[in-house]
Amino acid sequence: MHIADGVIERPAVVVGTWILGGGGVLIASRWFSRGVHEDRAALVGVLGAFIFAAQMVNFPLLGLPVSAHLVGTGLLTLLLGPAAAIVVMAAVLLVQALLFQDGGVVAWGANALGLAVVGAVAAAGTIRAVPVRFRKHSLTAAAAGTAAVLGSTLTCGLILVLGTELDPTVVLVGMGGVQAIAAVAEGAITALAFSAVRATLGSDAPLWPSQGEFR
Amino acid sequence: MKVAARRRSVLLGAALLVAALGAFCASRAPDTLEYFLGRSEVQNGNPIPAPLPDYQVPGVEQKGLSRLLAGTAGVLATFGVVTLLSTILSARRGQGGERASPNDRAP
Repeated sequence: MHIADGVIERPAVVVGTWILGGGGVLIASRWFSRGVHEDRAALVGVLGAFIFAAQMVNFPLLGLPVSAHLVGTGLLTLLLGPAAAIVVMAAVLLVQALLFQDGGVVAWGANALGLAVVGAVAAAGTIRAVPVRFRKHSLTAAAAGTAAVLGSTLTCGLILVLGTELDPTVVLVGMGGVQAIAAVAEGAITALAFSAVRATLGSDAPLWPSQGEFR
Repeated sequence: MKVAARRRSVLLGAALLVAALGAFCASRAPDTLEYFLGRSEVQNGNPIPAPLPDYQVPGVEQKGLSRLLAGTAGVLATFGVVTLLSTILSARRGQGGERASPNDRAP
């Protein structure tokens, strides 16, 4: 779902997404720098690398002629909180754009807005809507992963409707419909990966939310 | 801290394994966005040429190996960039006199 350069045709939309996406990442990086524990900072890079790797594993989506891969914004939000999730995903998007031409450099603002900012906010909203004692539950993890992809897809769809000549019905119904299936797959993988990562790191790992931390 | 460092290494190793899985087993079908945009028109749109376009190392003929090398480079690059970023951002807290919660765990 990374938007490549040349896809968004209207400069105003490119600028607008940079302001919203870049602004969101800047705010998140301020929250991150206030809230992060030193021992969590060491963990963040490893999880970023893990998300990068997971995004390389495209899997076929049912019988459809498309593939999908884990995005990981929901997973990062579950493990590190929304602020760190936004910063990490924005950095992953930058590496992908600069080194691999996966997602545009000019379109980074749009991708950061959809995949990082909106995805993490949707995941965090979902997690917070759940009573505290169920927040580490697999179903919560699945819901967070699904919500993140739905939020990202909706944002991406709106950007395409505003910034391209594509038929809005095709974008919102067609692409949205296919992505709804991808969102369910994201939820399932998120739940599995959430337990696997937590089991690997142990119960004393400095994951979100730690004591006295609300973001 | 030693235990935590070892556990982080395990996770980094897992990331490299997952990248290897992606190099050899990933579906080649276009993703949703590429499919709806029509794949051809979005190629090579970046104004800055990428060194490893489409997860391939230029000059390495064998596709799987090429993707494995590119993916390994990407995992390590992402690890480096994000670690640097989080170290810089977390160091800023101490200097700026931002709230340091009394509940913060000692490292």
